[in-house]
Amino acid sequence: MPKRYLMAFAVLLAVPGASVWADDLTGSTRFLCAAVQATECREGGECAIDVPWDLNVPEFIEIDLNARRLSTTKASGQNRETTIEHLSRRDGTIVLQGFEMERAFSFVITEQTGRVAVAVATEGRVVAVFGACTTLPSAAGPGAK
Amino acid sequence: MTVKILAVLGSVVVGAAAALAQTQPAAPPPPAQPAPQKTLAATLNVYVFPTAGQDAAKQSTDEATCYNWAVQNTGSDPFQLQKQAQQAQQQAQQAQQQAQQQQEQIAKSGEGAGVKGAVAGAAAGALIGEIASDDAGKGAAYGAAAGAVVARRRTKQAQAEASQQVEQQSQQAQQQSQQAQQATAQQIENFKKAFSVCLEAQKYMVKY
Repeated sequence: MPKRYLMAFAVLLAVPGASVWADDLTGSTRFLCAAVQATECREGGECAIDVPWDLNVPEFIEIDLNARRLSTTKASGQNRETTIEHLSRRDGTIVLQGFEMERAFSFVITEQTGRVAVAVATEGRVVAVFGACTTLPSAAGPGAK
Repeated sequence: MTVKILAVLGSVVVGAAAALAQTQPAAPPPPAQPAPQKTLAATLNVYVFPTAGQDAAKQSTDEATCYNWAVQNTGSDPFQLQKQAQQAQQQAQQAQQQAQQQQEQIAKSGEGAGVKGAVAGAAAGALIGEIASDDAGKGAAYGAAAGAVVARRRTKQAQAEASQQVEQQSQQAQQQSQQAQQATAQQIENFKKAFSVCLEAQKYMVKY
C-alpha cells in the first residue's frame, strides 16, 4: 500500500513539472513566450542579471510565424510590435532574426521543449533573455497566411 | 432749544479739557534697577567662599588672577570654548538643514519621473527596438506601462543612493558635533579644576 501511494505521489509531482518546463511546439505557427530571466552585458565586461521588464523586455511575447511578427499581448496594453525579417525552421529549432532601431535580434526556439533564448545586440550592449513558449491557436485574422 | 444744546456742548468741552489737564503730567517710570553683578567664578558655576575674611574686591582680583593662571596651565579659555561650541552647533544645525533640503529636493525630483517615462512611451510600439533603452526620449517610444515601470525603478534607485549619501553626511556632521561638545565639556572641567586649586591656595573654599 505505501508503495502505491509513493508512486502516485511521484507521478503527481512529475506531471505538472513536465508541463511547466516543456511544451512541444512542433507543427505550431503561433506561440506565446514568457521571458523568465534577462542579462545585460556592456562592452566593458560588466554584466547584470535583471528581471526582463526592467530592461523593457515584455513579460509575454506573441510570435506569429505566418505573419512574421513579434508582438505584445493585448492584455499588456503595450501595443508593441516588431517584424521578423529572417525565419528558419530546421532540425527542431526555430530561428527568428531581425533588426529594429539599431538593435539586431535573434530568437532560438527549441521545438521539443518550447524553451527560447533571445539575444538583442546594439552598440556597446547585449541583452540575453531566456524564457519558455507554449502554443497558441492559429490566428484567423488578416495577419494569418 | 438751541441755547440748551449749546450749553450742554460747552459743558462737555470744558469737562474734556479738564480731564486732559489731569492726565497730561504722567509720572516718569521708575529707573530700572541694575542687575546684580556676577563674579567671574559664578559665571563658570563655581562657588567660592572667602575663608580668611577677604572682601569682595580682593576676591574679584584673586578670581581674575586664578582665571589667567588656569588658562595658562590648561591651555583653554572657557569663554572661548563656549563661543567655539556655539559656532560648531550652528554649523551642525546648518548642515542638518541643508541635508533636509537636499532630501526634499531628491524627493521632489522623483515625482513625475514615472509619468514622464509613461508619456514618452505612449506613442508608438517597437518591441525589440526599445529593449535596454535607457533614454526614454530616444527613438520611438514603448508601451506606457513599461515606460512608467522602468522610469520609476531607475528614479527610485537614484533617489535611494542620493538619500543614503545625504543621511551619511548628516550623521557624520552630528557625530562630529557631539565629539566636539564632549571635548569642550572635558576642557571646561579641567579648567575648573585648575581654577579651584588656585583659589584654594589663596584660602577660599571652592565647590563646583
